[in-house]
Amino acid sequence: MTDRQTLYDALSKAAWGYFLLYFDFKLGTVSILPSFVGFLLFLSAIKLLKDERRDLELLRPLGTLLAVWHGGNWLASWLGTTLDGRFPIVDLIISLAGVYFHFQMLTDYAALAAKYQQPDQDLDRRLLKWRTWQTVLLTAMSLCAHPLRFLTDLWEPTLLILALAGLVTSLCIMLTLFDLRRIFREESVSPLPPP
Amino acid sequence: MRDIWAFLLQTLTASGVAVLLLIVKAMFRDKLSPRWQFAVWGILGIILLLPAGFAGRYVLLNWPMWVEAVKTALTGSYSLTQVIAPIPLPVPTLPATLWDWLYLVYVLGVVLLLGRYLFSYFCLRRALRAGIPASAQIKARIQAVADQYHLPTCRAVMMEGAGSAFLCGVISPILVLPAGTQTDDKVLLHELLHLKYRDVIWGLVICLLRCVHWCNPLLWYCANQSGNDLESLCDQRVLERLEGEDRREYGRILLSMANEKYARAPGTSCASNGGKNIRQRIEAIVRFKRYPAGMALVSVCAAIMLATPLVFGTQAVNVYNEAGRLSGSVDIDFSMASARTTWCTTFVGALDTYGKSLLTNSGAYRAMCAPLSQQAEIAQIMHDRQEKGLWPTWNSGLPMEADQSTGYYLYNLERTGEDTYKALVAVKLNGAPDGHPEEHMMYLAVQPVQVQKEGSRWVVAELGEAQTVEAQEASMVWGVQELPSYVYSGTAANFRVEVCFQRTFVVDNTVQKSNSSSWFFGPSSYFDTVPKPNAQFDEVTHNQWTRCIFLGSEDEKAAITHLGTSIVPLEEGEQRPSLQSAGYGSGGGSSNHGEDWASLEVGPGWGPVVPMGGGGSSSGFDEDSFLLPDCYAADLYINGEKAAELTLRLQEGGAQ
Repeated sequence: MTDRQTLYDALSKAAWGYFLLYFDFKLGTVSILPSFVGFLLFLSAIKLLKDERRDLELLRPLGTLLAVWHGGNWLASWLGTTLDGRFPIVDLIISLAGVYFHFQMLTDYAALAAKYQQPDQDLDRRLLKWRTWQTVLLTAMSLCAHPLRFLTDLWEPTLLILALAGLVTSLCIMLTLFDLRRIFREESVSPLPPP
Repeated sequence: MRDIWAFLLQTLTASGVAVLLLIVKAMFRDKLSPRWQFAVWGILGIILLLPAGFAGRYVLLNWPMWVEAVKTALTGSYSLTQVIAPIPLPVPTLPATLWDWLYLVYVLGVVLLLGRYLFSYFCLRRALRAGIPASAQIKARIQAVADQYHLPTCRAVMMEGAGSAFLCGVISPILVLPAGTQTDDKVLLHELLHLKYRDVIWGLVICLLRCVHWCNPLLWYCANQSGNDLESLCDQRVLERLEGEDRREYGRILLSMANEKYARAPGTSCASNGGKNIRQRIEAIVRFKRYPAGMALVSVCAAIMLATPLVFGTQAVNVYNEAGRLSGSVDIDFSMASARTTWCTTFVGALDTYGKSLLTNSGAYRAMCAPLSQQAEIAQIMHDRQEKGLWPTWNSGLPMEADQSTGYYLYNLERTGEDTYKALVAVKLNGAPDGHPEEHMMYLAVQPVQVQKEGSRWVVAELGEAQTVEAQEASMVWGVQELPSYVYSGTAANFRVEVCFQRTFVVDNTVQKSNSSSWFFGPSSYFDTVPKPNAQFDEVTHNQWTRCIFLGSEDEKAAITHLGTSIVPLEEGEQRPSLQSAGYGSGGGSSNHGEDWASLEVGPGWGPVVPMGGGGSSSGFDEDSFLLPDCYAADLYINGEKAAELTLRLQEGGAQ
């Protein structure tokens, strides 16, 4: 069983990882909250939780791939360019990896919540709900980028609406993860349930 | 497919998808279930059944461009390879070239392999007819397994020499069991599951695709993998129905089959499919319990994300326009191949591309929108120029270079048929062709063109040589009076009143560019000379100007000091409205409804033609943009008094 502090640290990293992934500030073309750092935080969280959730270990190769890609993109931004759209095949692979990565990671966090939350809490169901929303939104965005783009002129406003919905969803995921983290605070009065 | 190039395009397109699927499957091998692993082969199946390069689209990589480039380099042909059907079609003529012979060899290969498969299938069916019908005891066991798991059954026979149980046939399937040995219930379950899900059909489809792409080892590898994934899927279905020790036992049974030989026959499915494949299946079984639960949603989403860009493909829009950078003719041929495969999908896109080919003299741009019959001619011009040490451009026929910053304009676009349009293309020249420009004048090159559909491509054909027109310096978007226009005329009170109507069709090609001084001066803008093969019109301007032509005597002329006109377009049968007064005074105006009025004092020695000025309005493009006003209502004022009410009719002969 993983100790309370480790769980707390892991969930902190996961929540801040989402923050870095979806919120950005730029100096010129260079991001000062680079998304690859978010993936490094996810990988670190996975390492901390590997004994708690075995399935998370399966995500390590995908997380590394995503971190490398986003890191490469960040380096490219220093040169005033971007890797997005330059290699359509890699873009497709990265999109697939991203959807699966978030889906499974959030599924595992929901399982963690179900195990440790108080009976009156519903953090697991909230996480699963936002996970499902996020997966559907990411899929819908990929549909917008291809068939819808050629079939209708509405793809741009649709993409904007989906992006906004995605932002709200990620915010909810982040807040739910912070709520989940609160369970593992040292000063929390309730003891952890037996494994 | 009617030639070797079409086959090459089809098989390369499928190969690209196959490589991507192999990468993605490897990525998700331990994450998504065998059901997903088999289902994604369906994407490759769809790609194999869709004609490659359909509607000018490509999948993942621009294979049509590469195939065209290789074809031109090897054969010198500038035709366009098109896949009509995803299967080889017979060609009624005898082979004349090496490439025709290669195609014949390919077709013979397909026929021979298909024949071999059919032969082996019929041999097997004949052997099965000689098989021993299953005993009542075995039938009872099969029935018991079927009842336990709610599965259908079929006729069963025992066959000497059969390595293990297998299912044969699609329409009337037969369960074949090895004679002399007892087949385990779990193997029977495996085969009955094949029967339930009609997996033999998939085996048959895979066999047919093997035949069509018999000379592509990558697709054969994928066919093997998909067959193995089908067996893994069946294993998963078995494991979903078994518990505890039975699952381990099933794994052991598979392991015992690892050394058995197997022969691939179409229309069959067999639990034992070769040692290497069984090893992979056992690995999948080991992973069975490790697949994360609740993955249905992400499995479906991943499949959709993967399938949509592959099935819909990508429209080629960026043409390679760098001919001349490399020495030799390869560069030109590559540029021409890129142009042929970058289709203009709208008639506006074809006109935009043609306009830009005039502006830039680019052979690649011209080839994009040129009929296939002109491709060789365009390439020849470029080759000839290169041989003379010149930059390999196209000869647009303009008397001098065009002013790229002004762009091109389209006037008087008319629909002349179902998929045919006619227009006048005009570009501003970089000076006077004779070298002596006059002040306040501009020099235009204008050319009538026809845009029409050739297959799925829109192409532009020249209807005449480019002519030079000298015109008053003005914005070209609000009409050019020196260019042809539709003339409406009527006669009264010794005057012929004429309204010249002209439309300009505009694709917005303005690009805003920011630089270090933009914060103070604002962004600069320039005309984008890169073609937009999918363009639509952004604006149509409707321009009209009125003139009065005096037809009377000198005495009558001397009595006139003041003229005025007021006009408004009318539909046939529409009530004539009361028009704006254009009596005494000097000035005029216009409204959004096309109403125009003007009055002016005529000086001594006026006429006989008196320009009364005009106006214009703009709108978005729609089907009504092709309609001309039926007629004009006009009031003529002489010396401040309304002298006549006229109806101006369109003169025959179109724009003049």
